[in-house]
Amino acid sequence: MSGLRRLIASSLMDLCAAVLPTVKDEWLRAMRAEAAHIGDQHAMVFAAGCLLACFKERLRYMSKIPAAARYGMVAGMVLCAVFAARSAMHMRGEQELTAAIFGGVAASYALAAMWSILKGGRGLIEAALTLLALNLAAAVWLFSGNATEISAFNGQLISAVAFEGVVIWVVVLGFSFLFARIPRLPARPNNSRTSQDKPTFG
Amino acid sequence: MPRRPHSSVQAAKLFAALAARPHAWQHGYDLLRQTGLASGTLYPLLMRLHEAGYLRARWEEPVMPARTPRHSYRLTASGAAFARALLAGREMHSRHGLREKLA
Repeated sequence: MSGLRRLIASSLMDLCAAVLPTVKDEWLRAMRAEAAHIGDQHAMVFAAGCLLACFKERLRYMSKIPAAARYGMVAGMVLCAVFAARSAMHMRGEQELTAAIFGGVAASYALAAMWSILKGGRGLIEAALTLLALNLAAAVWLFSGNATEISAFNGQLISAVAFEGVVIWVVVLGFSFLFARIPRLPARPNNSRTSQDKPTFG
Repeated sequence: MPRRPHSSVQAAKLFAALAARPHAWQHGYDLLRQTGLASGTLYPLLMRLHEAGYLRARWEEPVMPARTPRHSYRLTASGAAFARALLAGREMHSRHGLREKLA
C-alpha cells in the first residue's frame, strides 16, 4: 500500500513538473525533495497539495497573456453574447424560462468580456474560472435529472448550453495556458543535470 | 481599500512560525506542521515571500539516512520587521475586538 502511495506521490510530482513554469524550477526541486523526505502516509497528500500549488503558480503566469490573444478571446465572448441574446429574443410563450436562461448566458458572456477588458489577463482568467465553475455546476445539476419542471425539449436545450459553456471556458483557459508569456530558464546542457534535480522517493 | 500584501491569515501563520525561531533554517514540512497549512497553500506563500525579499532559502546537505538535499527557509531582516509589524497589528486588532465584545 505504501509503495502505491509513493508511486502516486511520485506521479503527482511529475505532473507538477509539467505544470509549474520552468522559471520556478528550484521550487519544484524543493517540493520534490520535501516529498522524498516525508513519510509514506503523508507523501501523497503533500504531493497533491504541491500540484495545486503548481496550478496556482501557473494561473498567476497565465494572466500574462499577449494583448492580441486576449482581445481575440474577448471578441469571441462578445460574439457568444450576441448569439445568446438573439436566441433569447426569438423565444416566445412556453419557452419563457429558456429565453430567460439564454438572456442570463448572454449577460454572463458580456460581463466576462467587460471584466477581461477592465482587469486585463487576470480578469480574463477570473471570469473564465468563475463561469466554468457555474456552467459545470449547471451541467451536473441538469444531467442528474433535477430539472423535472422543465419540458424535455427545453431541458435538452439548456443542458446543451451548459455543456457548451463548459467547452468554451475550457478552451479559453487552454488558450490562456498556451499563449501566456511564461518566462523560461536558459536551457542547460544535458550533462549538467545532477541527482539533486529529481530526488528519489522512498 | 486594497488589502495589504502578505497579510492574509495564512501568511500571518507562516510569519508567526518563522518569527518564532528567527535564526533557525526550517524545512517546508516542518512549517507545514507548525502552521497547519496545506502544501498547496504553503508553497505559493513561500514563493511570494521569497520574491518580496522577506524570506531566504537555501539548500541543506542531506543528513543520514536522507539521501537528497532539502530546501530550508528563514526570514530576512526585512521579513522579520514585516512579521513583527503584521503580528503586532493582528494582536492589537484581536484585543480591540475582544474589548468591544466585552463592553
